[in-house]
Amino acid sequence: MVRARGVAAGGSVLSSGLGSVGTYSEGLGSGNRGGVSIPGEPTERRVPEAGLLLSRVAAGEPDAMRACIDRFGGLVWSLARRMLPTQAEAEDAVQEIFVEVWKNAGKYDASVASETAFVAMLTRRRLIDRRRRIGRRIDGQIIAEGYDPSGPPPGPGAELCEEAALAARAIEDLSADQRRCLRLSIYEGLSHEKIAVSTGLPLGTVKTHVRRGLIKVREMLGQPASGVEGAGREEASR
Amino acid sequence: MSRPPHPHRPRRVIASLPPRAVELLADRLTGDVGPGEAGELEALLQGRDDASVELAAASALVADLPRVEPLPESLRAALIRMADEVAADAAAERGVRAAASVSVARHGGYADGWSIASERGRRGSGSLWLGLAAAAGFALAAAGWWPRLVGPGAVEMTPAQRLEALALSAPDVVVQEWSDFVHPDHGAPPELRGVRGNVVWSESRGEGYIRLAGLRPNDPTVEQYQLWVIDDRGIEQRVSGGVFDAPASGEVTVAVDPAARVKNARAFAVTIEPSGGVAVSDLSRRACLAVVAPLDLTLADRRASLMRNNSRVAMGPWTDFVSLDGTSELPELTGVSGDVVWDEPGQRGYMVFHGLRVNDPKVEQYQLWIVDERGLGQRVSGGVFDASPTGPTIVPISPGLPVRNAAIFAVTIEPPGGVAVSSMARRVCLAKVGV
Repeated sequence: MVRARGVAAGGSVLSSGLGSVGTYSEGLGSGNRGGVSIPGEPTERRVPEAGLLLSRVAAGEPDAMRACIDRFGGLVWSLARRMLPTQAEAEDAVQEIFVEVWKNAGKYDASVASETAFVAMLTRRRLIDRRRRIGRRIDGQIIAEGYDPSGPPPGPGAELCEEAALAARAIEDLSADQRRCLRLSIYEGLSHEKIAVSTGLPLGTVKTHVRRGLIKVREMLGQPASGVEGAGREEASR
Repeated sequence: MSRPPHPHRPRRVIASLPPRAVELLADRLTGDVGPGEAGELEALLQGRDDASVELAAASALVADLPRVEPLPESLRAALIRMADEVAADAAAERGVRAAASVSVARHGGYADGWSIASERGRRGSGSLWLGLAAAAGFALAAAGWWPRLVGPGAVEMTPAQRLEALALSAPDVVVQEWSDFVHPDHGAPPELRGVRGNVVWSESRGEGYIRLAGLRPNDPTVEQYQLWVIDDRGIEQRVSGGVFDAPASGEVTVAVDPAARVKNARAFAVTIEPSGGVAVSDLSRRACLAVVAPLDLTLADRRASLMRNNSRVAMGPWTDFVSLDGTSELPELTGVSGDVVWDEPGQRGYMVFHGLRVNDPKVEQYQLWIVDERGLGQRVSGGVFDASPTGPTIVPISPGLPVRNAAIFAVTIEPPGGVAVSSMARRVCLAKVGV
């Protein structure tokens, strides 16, 4: 079985299988449009150039659909494992999400978001739907080892794309309570009422915190990418 | 900290919106926007939609990933197979479509009530995408969970005609009559009784239709009928099959449109829900049920089935949850009996309680805590539940996050909705489990 190889630059903690910059898959033949040769590699192994992949998926290119799995598989899988209770649920969700990505690839607009962010949006939608479907009676949370619900972003995710790097910067600027409310809302899909109960904060404060967190991130996304740490391997490859 | 800028990244377009519109978009994303605010948002956006807040949420989600794991090899292989099948079918579909368009051009004209899908098809998305979409619909409908898409050149039949075609052509088609949908746990009768008709379902094609008569005509702005598909995962993880309306005649035929993949459909159920349907129904407004394969519907049956079919389950009886601070102070509620059944590989289980005091959910609720290998300090909240006013209380366990080597299940009384961290001041019972 052929695996995509991650070639993370600069000591990145990104694991293999993410398949972004410098990633290649066997089967991406020399005839692929937008291929980028890797020095020292056989010429028939090519990297689909970032930014072109989804348009090629929309055009129905089989190799592009495979490359899509290798580029975004790690991201989608990691989000699914983070948000769903069991491996089986996560596996089901990942298959569902990739079909969603293939189906919607034609809607991708490079002037709005990076391909990684576009895939993350589709992924989040599906995972929240699934969480709500399976978690009505028991909506558990965990105080996970090493995870501080009110702390700054842990790091690795911010390296996946420019938008995540900008979002990490925005989240760092939030207060601890704002971070906690934002996370309970967008990760757990909890209602404002439930967040208020969980945190002991007044309902109005919860609503304001969630709003401010999202607005802060949105504002940051509207800024130029200059000087953003990480800023995404996808973008850096262009 | 800073890295050099990335000069080749095109400037992202974040539309300039009124601050109030951004606030309402944030509220909508987090599920907190009422009908009045929705109208206000629509007016502010002037018919456009804006995904910038959703993009912000997704970006924050990615930024907050504590680790990035590679795709498991088996899953990657399955995805590759799926991609190849979709791509191959897309290519085949393009060929079929080309032939069909020639045929349509030659013959022209269709009987009343029939229409040519291509005339109403999506425009402006590119013909190749249409091919992919059509093929994806075909291939994945065969897998059992994708709504069918009709490609250009195809002739669209009514659901009733498609039902007949499916019944005649699918090798594994099953037909099952509707019956009253009594409540699976306490046997209460449905809101709507005497619905007639049947379900026609082909597992191999992932295609099905429901035919119903005797429905009460509904006002779609107030309420709609919603179909549910119950498969191997059981009634707790039922899949929405779509919403539909009943005309004045009370008779309707609609396609099953599952929101997720169906694995061995066991039963179909119809409920009445608010307009647009719900993600998860509480099954309080039931109509009809069609069981196509044996299915454990009640919690007690499902608990028994889990114990019968799974040698890996662990069990433990409830005991009084005395204080852990060394004083051995008795809990607020003593003498609760029953047990916990826990399937660690399946991450599911059931709790049975006898003697649990009936609570007022507006004042307080019971909350489950699971202590695993990470210790008491990092206990997992298993969610909240209420005591049954009649008979024993049976509660399914489906933790929101993975449990590793569960050791203790403990129950406390907490404010409605539960708490993230409990003081354990209002203790009830605990059970130690061991495989």
